[in-house]
Amino acid sequence: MHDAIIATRGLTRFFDSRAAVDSLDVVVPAGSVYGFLGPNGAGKTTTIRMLLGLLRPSAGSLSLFGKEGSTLESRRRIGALVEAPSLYPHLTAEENLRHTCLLKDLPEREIGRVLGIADLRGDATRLVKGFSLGMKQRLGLANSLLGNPELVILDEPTNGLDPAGIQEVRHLLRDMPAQHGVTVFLSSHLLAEVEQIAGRIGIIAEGRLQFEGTPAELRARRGGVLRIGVERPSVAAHMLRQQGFEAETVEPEAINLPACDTQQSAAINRLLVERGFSVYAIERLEPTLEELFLDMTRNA
Amino acid sequence: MMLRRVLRAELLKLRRTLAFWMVPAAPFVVLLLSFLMFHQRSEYFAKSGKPLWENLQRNSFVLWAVLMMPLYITLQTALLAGLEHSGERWRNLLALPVRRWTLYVVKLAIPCAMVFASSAILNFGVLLSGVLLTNLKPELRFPSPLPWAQAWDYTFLSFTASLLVIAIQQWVSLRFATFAASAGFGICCTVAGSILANSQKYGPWWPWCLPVQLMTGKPEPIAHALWYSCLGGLIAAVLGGVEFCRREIRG
Repeated sequence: MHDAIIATRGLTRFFDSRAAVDSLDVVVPAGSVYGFLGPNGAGKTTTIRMLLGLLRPSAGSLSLFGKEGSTLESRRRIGALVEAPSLYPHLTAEENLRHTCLLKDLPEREIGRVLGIADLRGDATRLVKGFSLGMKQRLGLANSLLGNPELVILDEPTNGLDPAGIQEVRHLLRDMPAQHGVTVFLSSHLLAEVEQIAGRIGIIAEGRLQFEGTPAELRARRGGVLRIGVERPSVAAHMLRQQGFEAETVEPEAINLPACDTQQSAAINRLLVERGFSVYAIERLEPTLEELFLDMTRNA
Repeated sequence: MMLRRVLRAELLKLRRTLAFWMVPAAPFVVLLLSFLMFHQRSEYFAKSGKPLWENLQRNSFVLWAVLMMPLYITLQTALLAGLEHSGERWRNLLALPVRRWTLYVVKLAIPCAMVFASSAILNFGVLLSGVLLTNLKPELRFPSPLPWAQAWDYTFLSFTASLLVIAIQQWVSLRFATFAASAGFGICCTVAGSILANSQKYGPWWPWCLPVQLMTGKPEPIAHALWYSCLGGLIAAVLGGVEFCRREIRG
Protein backbone atom coordinates (compact mmCIF):
# COMPACT_ATOMS: atom_id res chain seq x y z
CA MET A 1 0.00 0.00 0.00
CA HIS A 2 2.01 2.95 -1.33
CA ASP A 3 0.26 5.69 0.65
CA ALA A 4 0.53 3.94 4.01
CA ILE A 5 2.79 5.88 6.36
CA ILE A 6 2.83 2.99 8.84
CA ALA A 7 2.22 -0.64 7.90
CA THR A 8 2.82 -3.60 10.17
CA ARG A 9 2.56 -7.23 9.08
CA GLY A 10 2.27 -9.90 11.71
CA LEU A 11 4.16 -7.68 14.11
CA THR A 12 4.84 -9.65 17.28
CA ARG A 13 6.77 -8.98 20.44
CA PHE A 14 7.30 -11.41 23.26
CA PHE A 15 8.38 -10.56 26.80
CA ASP A 16 9.61 -13.89 28.13
CA SER A 17 6.88 -16.24 26.91
CA ARG A 18 4.07 -13.67 26.92
CA ALA A 19 3.12 -11.99 23.64
CA ALA A 20 2.67 -8.29 24.41
CA VAL A 21 1.91 -7.69 20.72
CA ASP A 22 0.61 -10.62 18.70
CA SER A 23 0.49 -10.73 14.88
CA LEU A 24 -0.50 -7.11 14.53
CA ASP A 25 -1.52 -5.83 11.09
CA VAL A 26 -2.05 -2.10 11.12
CA VAL A 27 -2.17 0.31 8.19
CA VAL A 28 -2.07 4.05 8.77
CA PRO A 29 -2.89 6.11 5.67
CA ALA A 30 -1.05 9.36 4.98
CA GLY A 31 -2.72 12.55 6.15
CA SER A 32 -5.00 10.89 8.71
CA VAL A 33 -5.41 10.91 12.44
CA TYR A 34 -5.24 7.25 13.47
CA GLY A 35 -6.53 6.39 16.93
CA PHE A 36 -4.81 3.34 18.40
CA LEU A 37 -7.07 2.24 21.21
CA GLY A 38 -6.84 -0.32 23.92
CA PRO A 39 -6.98 -0.76 27.67
CA ASN A 40 -3.82 -0.40 29.75
CA GLY A 41 -1.45 -3.26 29.03
CA ALA A 42 -3.04 -4.04 25.65
CA GLY A 43 0.23 -3.60 23.74
CA LYS A 44 -0.10 0.00 22.51
CA THR A 45 3.14 1.30 24.01
CA THR A 46 5.04 -1.82 22.98
CA THR A 47 3.86 -1.26 19.39
CA ILE A 48 4.90 2.39 19.51
CA ARG A 49 8.30 1.46 20.93
CA MET A 50 8.84 -0.94 18.05
CA LEU A 51 7.86 1.79 15.58
CA LEU A 52 10.44 4.09 17.15
CA GLY A 53 13.22 1.51 17.28
CA LEU A 54 13.24 1.30 21.08
CA LEU A 55 12.25 -2.39 20.99
CA ARG A 56 13.02 -5.04 18.40
CA PRO A 57 10.12 -7.12 17.03
CA SER A 58 10.22 -10.84 17.89
CA ALA A 59 8.47 -11.65 14.60
CA GLY A 60 6.73 -9.95 11.71
CA SER A 61 7.76 -6.67 10.17
CA LEU A 62 6.94 -3.01 10.06
CA SER A 63 7.46 -0.36 7.47
CA LEU A 64 7.55 3.39 7.84
CA PHE A 65 7.15 5.66 4.81
CA GLY A 66 7.25 2.54 2.63
CA LYS A 67 10.65 1.39 3.89
CA GLU A 68 11.31 -1.64 6.07
CA GLY A 69 12.12 -1.21 9.73
CA SER A 70 12.58 1.72 12.05
CA THR A 71 15.70 3.42 10.75
CA LEU A 72 17.54 6.62 11.55
CA GLU A 73 16.22 8.01 8.28
CA SER A 74 12.60 7.22 9.13
CA ARG A 75 13.00 8.71 12.60
CA ARG A 76 14.13 11.99 11.02
CA ARG A 77 10.62 12.24 9.57
CA ILE A 78 8.88 11.40 12.85
CA GLY A 79 8.01 13.50 15.85
CA ALA A 80 7.24 11.42 18.91
CA LEU A 81 5.88 11.77 22.39
CA VAL A 82 6.17 8.47 24.23
CA GLU A 83 3.97 8.49 27.34
CA ALA A 84 4.81 11.48 29.55
CA PRO A 85 6.83 14.24 27.87
CA SER A 86 10.49 13.72 28.72
CA LEU A 87 11.42 17.28 29.43
CA TYR A 88 14.41 18.46 31.41
CA PRO A 89 12.92 20.36 34.37
CA HIS A 90 16.07 22.40 35.03
CA LEU A 91 15.97 23.87 31.53
CA THR A 92 13.59 26.49 30.15
CA ALA A 93 10.94 25.62 27.56
CA GLU A 94 13.12 27.21 24.90
CA GLU A 95 16.22 25.27 26.00
CA ASN A 96 14.30 22.00 25.94
CA LEU A 97 13.25 22.68 22.36
CA ARG A 98 16.76 23.78 21.42
CA HIS A 99 18.05 20.45 22.72
CA THR A 100 15.78 18.60 20.28
CA CYS A 101 16.61 21.06 17.48
CA LEU A 102 20.30 20.29 17.94
CA LEU A 103 19.75 16.54 17.89
CA LYS A 104 17.47 16.76 14.83
CA ASP A 105 19.72 19.32 13.09
CA LEU A 106 16.93 21.89 12.78
CA PRO A 107 17.15 25.68 12.57
CA GLU A 108 16.38 27.52 15.81
CA ARG A 109 13.54 29.50 14.21
CA GLU A 110 11.51 26.28 14.62
CA ILE A 111 11.43 26.94 18.36
CA GLY A 112 9.29 30.06 18.01
CA ARG A 113 6.99 28.35 15.53
CA VAL A 114 6.14 25.35 17.72
CA LEU A 115 5.89 27.51 20.86
CA GLY A 116 3.24 29.47 18.96
CA ILE A 117 1.33 26.31 18.03
CA ALA A 118 1.34 25.17 21.66
CA ASP A 119 0.48 28.69 22.86
CA LEU A 120 3.58 28.83 25.05
CA ARG A 121 5.40 31.84 23.60
CA GLY A 122 4.93 33.76 26.84
CA ASP A 123 6.51 30.95 28.86
CA ALA A 124 9.53 30.33 26.62
CA THR A 125 12.09 31.47 29.17
CA ARG A 126 10.49 29.85 32.23
CA LEU A 127 12.02 26.75 33.78
CA VAL A 128 9.96 23.67 32.96
CA LYS A 129 9.92 22.56 36.61
CA GLY A 130 7.46 25.42 37.24
CA PHE A 131 5.07 24.26 34.51
CA SER A 132 1.68 22.67 35.14
CA LEU A 133 1.08 19.16 33.77
CA GLY A 134 -0.99 20.59 30.92
CA MET A 135 1.77 23.01 29.96
CA LYS A 136 4.33 20.21 30.04
CA GLN A 137 2.11 18.11 27.82
CA ARG A 138 1.69 20.99 25.36
CA LEU A 139 5.44 21.57 25.39
CA GLY A 140 5.96 17.85 24.75
CA LEU A 141 3.62 18.11 21.79
CA ALA A 142 5.44 21.21 20.57
CA ASN A 143 8.68 19.26 20.87
CA SER A 144 7.25 16.48 18.70
CA LEU A 145 6.25 19.03 16.04
CA LEU A 146 9.75 20.48 15.63
CA GLY A 147 10.88 20.32 12.02
CA ASN A 148 7.40 19.72 10.60
CA PRO A 149 7.56 15.92 10.82
CA GLU A 150 5.49 13.95 8.33
CA LEU A 151 4.34 11.62 11.09
CA VAL A 152 3.64 12.39 14.73
CA ILE A 153 3.43 9.43 17.11
CA LEU A 154 1.79 10.24 20.40
CA ASP A 155 1.45 7.74 23.21
CA GLU A 156 -1.39 8.65 25.59
CA PRO A 157 -0.87 12.40 25.06
CA THR A 158 -3.71 13.38 27.41
CA ASN A 159 -2.64 11.16 30.31
CA GLY A 160 -3.02 12.98 33.59
CA LEU A 161 -4.61 16.07 32.07
CA ASP A 162 -7.72 17.74 33.43
CA PRO A 163 -10.74 18.14 31.10
CA ALA A 164 -9.60 21.60 29.98
CA GLY A 165 -6.14 20.26 29.19
CA ILE A 166 -7.63 17.33 27.26
CA GLN A 167 -9.70 19.74 25.20
CA GLU A 168 -6.65 21.90 24.44
CA VAL A 169 -4.67 18.89 23.24
CA ARG A 170 -7.65 17.59 21.26
CA HIS A 171 -7.98 20.88 19.38
CA LEU A 172 -4.28 20.90 18.68
CA LEU A 173 -4.34 17.35 17.28
CA ARG A 174 -7.55 17.61 15.29
CA ASP A 175 -6.20 20.39 13.09
CA MET A 176 -2.77 18.91 12.52
CA PRO A 177 -3.39 17.01 9.25
CA ALA A 178 -5.20 19.95 7.63
CA GLN A 179 -3.00 22.75 8.93
CA HIS A 180 0.41 21.12 9.02
CA GLY A 181 0.07 18.16 6.63
CA VAL A 182 0.95 15.77 9.42
CA THR A 183 -0.19 12.19 9.87
CA VAL A 184 -1.00 11.52 13.52
CA PHE A 185 -0.75 8.11 15.17
CA LEU A 186 -2.34 8.52 18.55
CA SER A 187 -2.66 5.89 21.26
CA SER A 188 -5.20 6.13 24.01
CA HIS A 189 -7.32 4.03 26.29
CA LEU A 190 -10.23 6.47 25.98
CA LEU A 191 -12.48 5.90 22.98
CA ALA A 192 -14.45 9.06 23.67
CA GLU A 193 -11.26 11.07 23.33
CA VAL A 194 -10.17 9.43 20.09
CA GLU A 195 -13.47 9.15 18.22
CA GLN A 196 -13.74 12.94 18.12
CA ILE A 197 -10.49 13.44 16.26
CA ALA A 198 -9.53 10.18 14.57
CA GLY A 199 -10.52 9.37 11.00
CA ARG A 200 -9.48 5.77 11.51
CA ILE A 201 -9.44 3.62 14.61
CA GLY A 202 -7.57 0.47 15.56
CA ILE A 203 -8.62 -1.38 18.71
CA ILE A 204 -6.08 -3.64 20.36
CA ALA A 205 -6.56 -5.97 23.32
CA GLU A 206 -4.25 -8.64 24.71
CA GLY A 207 -1.80 -7.71 21.95
CA ARG A 208 -4.22 -8.52 19.13
CA LEU A 209 -6.04 -6.17 16.81
CA GLN A 210 -9.79 -6.49 17.47
CA PHE A 211 -11.02 -3.89 15.02
CA GLU A 212 -9.68 -1.54 12.39
CA GLY A 213 -11.79 0.93 10.46
CA THR A 214 -13.52 4.28 10.61
CA PRO A 215 -15.58 5.43 13.60
CA ALA A 216 -18.68 5.02 11.35
CA GLU A 217 -17.78 1.39 10.70
CA LEU A 218 -17.38 0.87 14.41
CA ARG A 219 -20.82 2.40 15.02
CA ALA A 220 -22.30 0.07 12.41
CA ARG A 221 -21.21 -2.86 14.54
CA ARG A 222 -23.16 -1.64 17.49
CA GLY A 223 -26.14 -3.99 17.16
CA GLY A 224 -28.22 -3.37 20.25
CA VAL A 225 -31.09 -5.07 22.05
CA LEU A 226 -34.86 -4.80 22.28
CA ARG A 227 -35.84 -4.65 25.92
CA ILE A 228 -39.43 -5.54 26.75
CA GLY A 229 -40.94 -4.89 30.15
CA VAL A 230 -43.38 -7.75 30.67
CA GLU A 231 -45.06 -9.68 33.48
CA ARG A 232 -43.83 -13.24 34.14
CA PRO A 233 -40.68 -12.60 32.02
CA SER A 234 -39.22 -16.10 32.29
CA VAL A 235 -42.47 -17.66 30.97
CA ALA A 236 -42.70 -15.00 28.27
CA ALA A 237 -39.07 -15.58 27.23
CA HIS A 238 -39.73 -19.33 27.06
CA MET A 239 -42.77 -18.75 24.88
CA LEU A 240 -40.85 -16.43 22.54
CA ARG A 241 -37.99 -18.93 22.26
CA GLN A 242 -40.52 -21.58 21.21
CA GLN A 243 -41.62 -19.16 18.48
CA GLY A 244 -38.05 -18.90 17.24
CA PHE A 245 -36.94 -15.64 18.93
CA GLU A 246 -33.63 -15.34 20.86
CA ALA A 247 -35.17 -14.07 24.07
CA GLU A 248 -33.53 -14.03 27.48
CA THR A 249 -34.61 -12.84 30.89
CA VAL A 250 -32.38 -10.05 32.17
CA GLU A 251 -34.34 -8.45 35.00
CA PRO A 252 -37.23 -9.54 37.25
CA GLU A 253 -39.67 -7.85 34.88
CA ALA A 254 -37.87 -7.59 31.53
CA ILE A 255 -36.58 -9.69 28.66
CA ASN A 256 -34.00 -8.89 25.99
CA LEU A 257 -34.05 -9.79 22.31
CA PRO A 258 -31.59 -8.86 19.57
CA ALA A 259 -32.51 -5.48 18.09
CA CYS A 260 -34.92 -5.71 15.18
CA ASP A 261 -36.92 -3.38 12.95
CA THR A 262 -40.18 -1.71 14.06
CA GLN A 263 -42.47 -4.17 12.27
CA GLN A 264 -40.86 -7.12 13.98
CA SER A 265 -41.02 -5.30 17.32
CA ALA A 266 -44.75 -4.76 16.79
CA ALA A 267 -45.20 -8.44 15.91
CA ILE A 268 -43.47 -9.52 19.13
CA ASN A 269 -45.61 -7.13 21.14
CA ARG A 270 -48.78 -8.49 19.48
CA LEU A 271 -47.72 -12.06 20.16
CA LEU A 272 -47.09 -11.35 23.84
CA VAL A 273 -50.47 -9.60 24.29
CA GLU A 274 -52.36 -12.36 22.39
CA ARG A 275 -50.81 -14.96 24.72
CA GLY A 276 -51.99 -13.00 27.76
CA PHE A 277 -48.78 -11.26 28.88
CA SER A 278 -49.09 -7.63 29.97
CA VAL A 279 -46.44 -5.54 28.24
CA TYR A 280 -45.32 -2.45 30.20
CA ALA A 281 -42.64 -1.04 27.89
CA ILE A 282 -40.68 -1.71 24.74
CA GLU A 283 -37.42 0.12 24.13
CA ARG A 284 -34.46 -0.25 21.83
CA LEU A 285 -31.13 -0.08 23.67
CA GLU A 286 -27.99 0.67 21.69
CA PRO A 287 -24.60 0.38 23.34
CA THR A 288 -22.43 3.46 23.20
CA LEU A 289 -19.14 3.22 21.37
CA GLU A 290 -17.54 3.11 24.79
CA GLU A 291 -19.55 0.00 25.72
CA LEU A 292 -18.72 -1.59 22.37
CA PHE A 293 -15.05 -0.85 22.96
CA LEU A 294 -15.20 -2.31 26.46
CA ASP A 295 -17.03 -5.35 25.14
CA MET A 296 -14.39 -5.91 22.45
CA THR A 297 -11.48 -5.49 24.80
CA ARG A 298 -13.02 -7.56 27.61
CA ASN A 299 -13.81 -10.47 25.33
CA ALA A 300 -10.37 -10.51 23.74
CA MET B 1 28.78 16.91 12.32
CA MET B 2 26.42 14.73 14.32
CA LEU B 3 29.04 14.35 17.04
CA ARG B 4 29.31 18.13 17.35
CA ARG B 5 25.54 18.60 17.51
CA VAL B 6 25.14 15.87 20.13
CA LEU B 7 27.96 17.40 22.15
CA ARG B 8 26.28 20.83 22.05
CA ALA B 9 22.96 19.27 23.09
CA GLU B 10 24.59 17.44 26.00
CA LEU B 11 26.45 20.56 27.12
CA LEU B 12 23.17 22.49 27.03
CA LYS B 13 21.74 19.99 29.52
CA LEU B 14 24.50 20.75 32.02
CA ARG B 15 23.10 24.22 32.68
CA ARG B 16 22.01 24.73 36.28
CA THR B 17 23.03 21.21 37.26
CA LEU B 18 24.86 20.11 40.38
CA ALA B 19 27.22 18.13 38.15
CA PHE B 20 28.40 21.35 36.51
CA TRP B 21 29.05 23.11 39.82
CA MET B 22 30.92 20.12 41.15
CA VAL B 23 33.68 20.71 38.57
CA PRO B 24 35.16 23.62 40.57
CA ALA B 25 33.66 22.60 43.93
CA ALA B 26 35.35 19.19 44.28
CA PRO B 27 38.94 20.40 43.74
CA PHE B 28 38.20 23.46 45.85
CA VAL B 29 37.44 21.23 48.84
CA VAL B 30 40.80 19.49 48.43
CA LEU B 31 42.58 22.80 47.93
CA LEU B 32 41.00 24.15 51.08
CA LEU B 33 42.01 21.07 53.11
CA SER B 34 45.62 21.13 51.94
CA PHE B 35 45.78 24.90 52.40
CA LEU B 36 44.50 24.62 55.97
CA MET B 37 46.91 21.78 56.68
CA PHE B 38 49.90 23.90 55.59
CA HIS B 39 48.53 27.00 57.23
CA GLN B 40 48.00 25.30 60.60
CA ARG B 41 51.25 23.33 60.55
CA SER B 42 53.39 25.86 58.74
CA GLU B 43 56.40 25.46 61.05
CA TYR B 44 56.40 21.67 60.69
CA PHE B 45 56.39 21.90 56.90
CA ALA B 46 58.98 24.70 56.90
CA LYS B 47 61.38 22.59 58.98
CA SER B 48 60.66 19.24 57.32
CA GLY B 49 63.51 19.76 54.88
CA LYS B 50 61.43 18.58 51.93
CA PRO B 51 60.94 20.88 48.95
CA LEU B 52 57.81 22.93 49.74
CA TRP B 53 56.24 22.86 46.30
CA GLU B 54 56.67 19.10 45.97
CA ASN B 55 55.28 18.61 49.46
CA LEU B 56 52.20 20.74 48.80
CA GLN B 57 51.58 19.20 45.39
CA ARG B 58 51.97 15.64 46.69
CA ASN B 59 49.71 16.21 49.70
CA SER B 60 47.00 17.73 47.54
CA PHE B 61 47.37 14.99 44.95
CA VAL B 62 47.06 12.21 47.56
CA LEU B 63 43.87 13.72 48.95
CA TRP B 64 42.52 14.05 45.43
CA ALA B 65 43.60 10.72 43.95
CA VAL B 66 42.88 8.36 46.83
CA LEU B 67 39.49 9.55 47.96
CA MET B 68 38.04 12.62 46.34
CA MET B 69 38.52 11.78 42.66
CA PRO B 70 36.92 8.29 42.76
CA LEU B 71 33.97 9.65 44.74
CA TYR B 72 33.79 12.63 42.41
CA ILE B 73 33.72 10.33 39.36
CA THR B 74 31.02 8.22 41.03
CA LEU B 75 28.83 11.22 41.75
CA GLN B 76 29.42 12.93 38.41
CA THR B 77 28.56 9.87 36.31
CA ALA B 78 25.53 9.08 38.48
CA LEU B 79 24.26 12.66 38.27
CA LEU B 80 24.82 12.88 34.52
CA ALA B 81 23.09 9.56 33.86
CA GLY B 82 20.34 10.62 36.27
CA LEU B 83 19.43 13.43 33.86
CA GLU B 84 18.10 10.72 31.52
CA HIS B 85 17.01 8.09 34.05
CA SER B 86 14.78 10.40 36.05
CA GLY B 87 11.51 10.96 34.25
CA GLU B 88 12.47 8.02 32.03
CA ARG B 89 13.82 10.35 29.40
CA TRP B 90 15.69 7.64 27.52
CA ARG B 91 12.64 6.62 25.49
CA ASN B 92 12.18 10.05 23.94
CA LEU B 93 15.90 10.73 23.62
CA LEU B 94 16.60 7.44 21.84
CA ALA B 95 13.56 7.86 19.59
CA LEU B 96 15.32 10.87 18.04
CA PRO B 97 17.38 10.44 14.88
CA VAL B 98 20.70 10.13 16.70
CA ARG B 99 23.18 7.28 16.36
CA ARG B 100 23.46 5.58 19.69
CA TRP B 101 27.21 5.17 19.55
CA THR B 102 27.55 8.93 18.99
CA LEU B 103 25.45 9.55 22.07
CA TYR B 104 27.51 7.09 24.10
CA VAL B 105 30.81 8.64 23.00
CA VAL B 106 29.58 12.10 23.98
CA LYS B 107 28.14 10.86 27.26
CA LEU B 108 31.54 9.35 28.06
CA ALA B 109 33.51 12.37 26.85
CA ILE B 110 31.68 14.75 29.19
CA PRO B 111 32.70 13.13 32.52
CA CYS B 112 36.21 12.72 31.09
CA ALA B 113 36.34 16.44 30.32
CA MET B 114 34.93 17.24 33.75
CA VAL B 115 37.53 15.11 35.53
CA PHE B 116 40.28 16.70 33.46
CA ALA B 117 38.99 20.21 34.23
CA SER B 118 38.73 19.45 37.96
CA SER B 119 42.23 17.95 38.02
CA ALA B 120 43.55 21.05 36.26
CA ILE B 121 41.74 23.35 38.70
CA LEU B 122 43.26 21.39 41.58
CA ASN B 123 46.83 21.24 40.33
CA PHE B 124 46.97 24.83 39.12
CA GLY B 125 45.04 25.95 42.20
CA VAL B 126 47.82 24.42 44.30
CA LEU B 127 50.18 27.00 42.79
CA LEU B 128 47.86 29.80 43.85
CA SER B 129 47.63 28.20 47.25
CA GLY B 130 51.43 28.21 47.56
CA VAL B 131 51.59 31.90 46.63
CA LEU B 132 48.93 32.71 49.25
CA LEU B 133 50.73 30.69 51.93
CA THR B 134 53.99 32.52 51.18
CA ASN B 135 52.22 35.80 51.84
CA LEU B 136 50.32 34.65 54.92
CA LYS B 137 53.04 32.58 56.60
CA PRO B 138 56.52 34.10 56.37
CA GLU B 139 58.16 30.83 57.44
CA LEU B 140 56.74 29.14 54.35
CA ARG B 141 58.72 30.54 51.45
CA PHE B 142 57.59 28.73 48.32
CA PRO B 143 60.44 29.37 45.88
CA SER B 144 60.11 30.93 42.43
CA PRO B 145 59.54 30.12 39.66
CA LEU B 146 56.18 28.38 40.06
CA PRO B 147 56.34 24.66 39.11
CA TRP B 148 54.00 24.90 36.10
CA ALA B 149 55.42 21.77 34.47
CA GLN B 150 54.77 19.63 37.55
CA ALA B 151 51.22 21.00 37.81
CA TRP B 152 50.63 19.94 34.24
CA ASP B 153 52.20 16.50 34.91
CA TYR B 154 49.97 15.90 37.92
CA THR B 155 46.91 16.95 35.90
CA PHE B 156 47.74 14.73 32.97
CA LEU B 157 48.78 11.73 35.09
CA SER B 158 45.80 11.79 37.44
CA PHE B 159 43.38 12.21 34.54
CA THR B 160 44.94 9.39 32.51
CA ALA B 161 45.04 7.04 35.50
CA SER B 162 41.32 7.62 36.07
CA LEU B 163 40.14 6.76 32.55
CA LEU B 164 39.36 3.13 33.39
CA VAL B 165 37.34 4.12 36.45
CA ILE B 166 35.42 6.71 34.42
CA ALA B 167 34.60 4.17 31.69
CA ILE B 168 33.44 1.53 34.21
CA GLN B 169 31.48 3.98 36.30
CA GLN B 170 29.82 5.55 33.26
CA TRP B 171 28.75 2.12 32.01
CA VAL B 172 27.27 1.23 35.41
CA SER B 173 25.53 4.61 35.72
CA LEU B 174 23.96 4.40 32.27
CA ARG B 175 22.99 0.77 32.80
CA PHE B 176 21.23 1.05 36.18
CA ALA B 177 18.41 3.52 36.57
CA THR B 178 18.71 4.18 40.27
CA PHE B 179 21.17 6.68 41.69
CA ALA B 180 21.71 4.34 44.65
CA ALA B 181 22.93 1.49 42.42
CA SER B 182 25.59 3.49 40.60
CA ALA B 183 26.60 5.54 43.63
CA GLY B 184 26.67 2.42 45.84
CA PHE B 185 28.83 0.59 43.31
CA GLY B 186 31.29 3.48 43.09
CA ILE B 187 31.49 3.97 46.86
CA CYS B 188 32.09 0.24 47.48
CA CYS B 189 34.82 0.17 44.85
CA THR B 190 36.42 3.31 46.32
CA VAL B 191 36.41 1.81 49.83
CA ALA B 192 37.89 -1.41 48.44
CA GLY B 193 40.48 0.73 46.67
CA SER B 194 41.52 2.43 49.90
CA ILE B 195 42.04 -1.03 51.46
CA LEU B 196 43.90 -2.44 48.46
CA ALA B 197 45.99 0.68 47.87
CA ASN B 198 48.96 -0.70 49.81
CA SER B 199 48.72 -4.22 48.40
CA GLN B 200 51.55 -4.84 45.95
CA LYS B 201 49.69 -7.84 44.59
CA TYR B 202 46.20 -6.40 43.99
CA GLY B 203 46.74 -2.64 44.12
CA PRO B 204 48.22 -2.32 40.62
CA TRP B 205 45.23 -4.19 39.14
CA TRP B 206 42.35 -2.62 41.04
CA PRO B 207 41.18 0.26 38.79
CA TRP B 208 40.35 2.50 41.75
CA CYS B 209 43.97 2.21 42.96
CA LEU B 210 45.63 3.28 39.72
CA PRO B 211 46.00 6.98 40.63
CA VAL B 212 47.73 5.85 43.84
CA GLN B 213 50.30 3.96 41.75
CA LEU B 214 51.47 7.32 40.45
CA MET B 215 52.65 8.21 43.95
CA THR B 216 55.37 5.57 43.90
CA GLY B 217 57.49 7.89 41.77
CA LYS B 218 58.96 4.85 39.99
CA PRO B 219 58.69 4.72 36.21
CA GLU B 220 57.45 1.12 35.96
CA PRO B 221 54.36 1.30 38.20
CA ILE B 222 53.49 4.66 36.66
CA ALA B 223 53.77 3.29 33.13
CA HIS B 224 51.77 0.20 34.13
CA ALA B 225 49.01 2.36 35.68
CA LEU B 226 48.79 4.61 32.64
CA TRP B 227 48.77 1.81 30.06
CA TYR B 228 46.38 -0.32 32.09
CA SER B 229 44.02 2.63 32.56
CA CYS B 230 44.09 3.62 28.88
CA LEU B 231 43.69 0.12 27.46
CA GLY B 232 41.23 -1.01 30.13
CA GLY B 233 39.30 2.23 29.70
CA LEU B 234 39.11 1.66 25.96
CA ILE B 235 37.86 -1.91 26.42
CA ALA B 236 35.30 -0.88 29.06
CA ALA B 237 34.14 1.97 26.80
CA VAL B 238 33.71 -0.34 23.81
CA LEU B 239 31.86 -2.97 25.87
CA GLY B 240 29.66 -0.32 27.47
CA GLY B 241 29.00 1.26 24.07
CA VAL B 242 28.04 -2.07 22.47
CA GLU B 243 25.68 -2.83 25.35
CA PHE B 244 24.19 0.70 25.12
CA CYS B 245 23.67 0.44 21.35
CA ARG B 246 21.91 -2.92 21.68
CA ARG B 247 19.83 -2.00 24.70
CA GLU B 248 16.07 -2.06 24.45
CA ILE B 249 13.98 0.56 26.22
CA ARG B 250 11.30 -1.40 28.03
CA GLY B 251 10.48 0.68 31.09
